[in-house]
Amino acid sequence: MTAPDDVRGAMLAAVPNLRAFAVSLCGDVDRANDLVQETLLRAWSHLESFEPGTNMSAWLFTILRNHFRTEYRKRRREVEDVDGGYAERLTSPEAQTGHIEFGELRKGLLQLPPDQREALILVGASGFSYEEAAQICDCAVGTIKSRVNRARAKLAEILTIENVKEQEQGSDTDKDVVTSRVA
Amino acid sequence: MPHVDSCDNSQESQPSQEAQPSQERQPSQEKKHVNREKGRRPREKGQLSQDIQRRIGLQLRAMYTDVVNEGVPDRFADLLRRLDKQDKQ
Repeated sequence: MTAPDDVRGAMLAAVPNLRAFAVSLCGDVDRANDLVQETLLRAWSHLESFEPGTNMSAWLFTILRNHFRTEYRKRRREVEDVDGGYAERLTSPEAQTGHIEFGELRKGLLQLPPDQREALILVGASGFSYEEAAQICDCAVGTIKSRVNRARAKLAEILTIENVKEQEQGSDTDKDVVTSRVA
Repeated sequence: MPHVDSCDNSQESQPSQEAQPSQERQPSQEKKHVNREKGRRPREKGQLSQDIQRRIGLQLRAMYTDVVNEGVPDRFADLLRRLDKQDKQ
């Protein structure tokens, strides 16, 4: 099937958002670009399954998301089999895009389970409605809502702990533990 | 359909995080700790969490927008042009 020009245009127009989604999901620009490339290739070879008039962006997000999930599971097995090097590289700010000011947030995002991470990004950053996000993730709207809530709470917890660690440097916390044991 | 791998929800049943077995095993000790934490500075804690939630939301969007603003890298425009050409031949 030959793609009409407006389809190619719509795919191109979706690229900046797709990249942002991919970077937020995997925390690594090179890998994100590969995800986007694979998404465009897959979309192109399955254009017949895109319904004209529906949301091209949501369709591409779905493809990217599913591809990421498959890759994630594969990589996780590899990491478990070989060593923790990959995971370590993922969470080091230097391995990420160089936006050091976002390092803490990226690190926090990567600590979330993937289903919570994707829900939070889709609703909190990509600007999809809960309904659209549910469609992209192939689950119920209520599931998306609870994943977003859990993601927010967990991220707040992670970032608060990081802050407290930095500010108190362990001294106060140690005392607290001791006194609570005595009491 | 391109989504060969649809969301595998079966592996993702999330047990509620509040019901960790370790917490259930020592209820009295855990309770004491929680009460103590709550009694210390409840207002500041609530405030802190609200601030953090707002900061997370803003930062998340800022981080995302940062990438969006990078536009379309040449490799993707080239890729789509190439695919289009292929199809038209």
